[in-house]
Amino acid sequence: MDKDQNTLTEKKNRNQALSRYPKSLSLIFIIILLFVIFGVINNNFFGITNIINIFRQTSVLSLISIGMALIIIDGGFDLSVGSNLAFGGAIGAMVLTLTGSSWLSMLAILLTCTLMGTLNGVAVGVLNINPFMFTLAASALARGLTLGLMNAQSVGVTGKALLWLGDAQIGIIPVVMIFVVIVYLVFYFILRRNMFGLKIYAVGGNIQAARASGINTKMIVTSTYILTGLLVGIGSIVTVGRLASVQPWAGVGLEFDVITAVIIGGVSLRGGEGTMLGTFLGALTIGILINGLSFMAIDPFFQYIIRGFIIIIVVLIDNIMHTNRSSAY
Amino acid sequence: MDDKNSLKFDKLEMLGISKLFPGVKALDKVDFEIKGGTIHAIVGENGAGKSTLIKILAGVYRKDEGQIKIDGKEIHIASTIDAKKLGISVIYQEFSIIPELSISQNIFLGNEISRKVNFWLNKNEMHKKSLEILKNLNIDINPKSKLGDLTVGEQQLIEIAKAINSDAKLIVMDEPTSALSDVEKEQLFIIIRKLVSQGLGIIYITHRMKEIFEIADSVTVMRDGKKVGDYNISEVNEDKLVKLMVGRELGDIYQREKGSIKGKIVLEVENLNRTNVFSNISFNVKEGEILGIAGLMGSGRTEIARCIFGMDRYSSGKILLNGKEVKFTHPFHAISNGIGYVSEDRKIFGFIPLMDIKENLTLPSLKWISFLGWVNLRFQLKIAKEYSHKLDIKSQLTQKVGSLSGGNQQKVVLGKWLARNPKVLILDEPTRGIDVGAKSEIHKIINQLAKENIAIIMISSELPEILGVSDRIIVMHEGEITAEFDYKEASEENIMKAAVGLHKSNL
Repeated sequence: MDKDQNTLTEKKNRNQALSRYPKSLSLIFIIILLFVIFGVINNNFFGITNIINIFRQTSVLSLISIGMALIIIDGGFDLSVGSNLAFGGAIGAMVLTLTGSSWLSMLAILLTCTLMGTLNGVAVGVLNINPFMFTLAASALARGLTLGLMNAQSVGVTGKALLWLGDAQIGIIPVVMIFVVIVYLVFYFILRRNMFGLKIYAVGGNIQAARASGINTKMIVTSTYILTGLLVGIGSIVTVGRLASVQPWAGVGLEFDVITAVIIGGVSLRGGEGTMLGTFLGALTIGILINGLSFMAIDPFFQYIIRGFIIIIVVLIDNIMHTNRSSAY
Repeated sequence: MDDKNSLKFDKLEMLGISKLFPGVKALDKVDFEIKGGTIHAIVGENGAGKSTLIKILAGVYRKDEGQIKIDGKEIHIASTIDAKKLGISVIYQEFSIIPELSISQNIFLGNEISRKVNFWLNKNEMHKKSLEILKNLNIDINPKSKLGDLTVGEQQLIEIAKAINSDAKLIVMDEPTSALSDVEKEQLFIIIRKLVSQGLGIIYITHRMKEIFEIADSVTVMRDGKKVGDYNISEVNEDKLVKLMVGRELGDIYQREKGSIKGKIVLEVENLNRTNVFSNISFNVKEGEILGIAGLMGSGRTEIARCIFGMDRYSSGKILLNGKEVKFTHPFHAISNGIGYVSEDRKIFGFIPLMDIKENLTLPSLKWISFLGWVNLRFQLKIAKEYSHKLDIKSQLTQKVGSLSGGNQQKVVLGKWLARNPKVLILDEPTRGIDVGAKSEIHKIINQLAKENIAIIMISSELPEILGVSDRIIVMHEGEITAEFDYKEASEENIMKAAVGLHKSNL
């Protein structure tokens, strides 16, 4: 072997070790690092109220990240989550004014968002339309409808049941925090032990082989969008509860944060890979970052720049990991 | 181009070249040598390592071991650009030319002449030089015409002109005559001889034995990643070359005990048609029988299998399973009815690379090992253990299938169907791209499955495999069945004749 090849094999070995290295572990390290940095800069950051606040702020992001993770594992994309969240709220507000029932309003929010998810799902999964373009269109559609319905005005809402999930606390722990953990646990088990979860990985890993193994690939892809719709609906209810109002501009840029969180969490853009633990940690990382940056009163434009850089770094890492793996096959 | 000496070399040597792909040693310490001014043929079966060797020379792959020398001086080829700079040019079966551009533009592709004062291309100059090159090669074509308007044979000549223009000293031709008419072939040979007389070296890869004797000065035979030997063309004849290539008598291929199967018919295909793909296909397969389907690639064999398995639609005809007509519109229906399909392309249709052996082995069985959607993990593990043991898969169950060798991947694919206890198993090129050892293991498994009364349809392009394994053989040619043989009547010769459409018998 000449020298060239020696270094080549060394590099290969090192990279293989790197890709075997659990992503979740490095994320925990990053989270601790962020905590320390923000904490040193501003001691109040460490306060228990702020930490709980981070979890509360991150809850909607975390919930929708679950759905986005499933979609991206199956090689798709959903740019409409932010607008759908607002659209669900708008319909909910309308139903609330018409009927006065919190419960009906909640049902309407869930139905609306799930329906939007179904629309995306059928377009992408069954009709094979490019997910990027279709969900972009759906996003514009939903935002437009929202603004039209609400006349671009925010609406204050009351109703104990409607506000409970986003607002209630048990002691100092927000109910929504517990709820998020439960939903994550459910999806953790679905992905690990349920037929549906295994099929999602199979479809994302190799859709042709999945179909040849008897999996209804169209149904699986479609259902990831429907589930995301449902989770967006829950996120919409949490948002309404937290703000005690329905905002027509709610969820603007949410897809940006959600997709970043999911990718940071180790879901591969090439599909077939990703975990619930990673997704949760990814969402938490973004949550801490957003909170920390605004805590430091950093200019919004600078926040965007930082987030942009983070995405580029994460995508580059994803790329490097993939190149190594494909050379290993 | 000015220095005519740059067009010559005395000797190119490749010494001890090895290349390892995961699980397969594609090249094992191969020595190869070609002298300038000669035509050197390389022959070998599919997978013998010819193309890997060439790709290393062309800079497409990197060698793991060995040296390459030109005139005794070691050279390093790390990329296709390096190879080009050294004057090594490869003409692949698929050309790298652009039909929309003119001939001179193609000849100068990536090598354009521009005017000195600005960056605009100097078309006149390129035209003039192209004309010169073409004239030198005795090719009478106007360089201004569009390349797409030429015949395949003429396009091939342009590829050669392109290589000459980039100062090639050594041209590798991979099956150059596969799409040529006899006249075009003769023209090509005249040009090749002319180039050689000017000092170029030609490496000539072909499956056509006759051509080797028409044109080559010497020949290298490869088999299973190793060099069998170098021969002067006068030392060998066609028979000897074939024997050297195959390197084994039929006895080395797995031979199973065959017989006329009397079991009941499990699967029957009646007058199946798919427009422009295959027509009037009728056959049946019995319990415990292995039906071989022979034929050339593209003869419609795989498409029939896909229709039976519910992956594609057929236009007319019937498929009967145990005497009852079935219509599968999704593989799931076929699987539920006890049919398994091992595809010819296991990377695309066979497995999920990122999932582990256990998950892949149980993927088609999920429905049967789950309760209300929740997978019974203990049951899953038990099945995975059983079939990895049965198929002798020598890896941890938690290993990702993408990282396994071709042979083990194929065993996983076989295993996932066996776990369904199939009644009918369709095997499409079951040993393609698998090393010799794993090959005979898979043949033994197939035999065992037939003994367990599974009806097996085996599609294969390898005649020894078809002859060694099948009880009965049907042969296809261009979408039609052209012959059917009992294992006793079948021979390489009569199968090959039917596969190329030379005779129709027993129909």
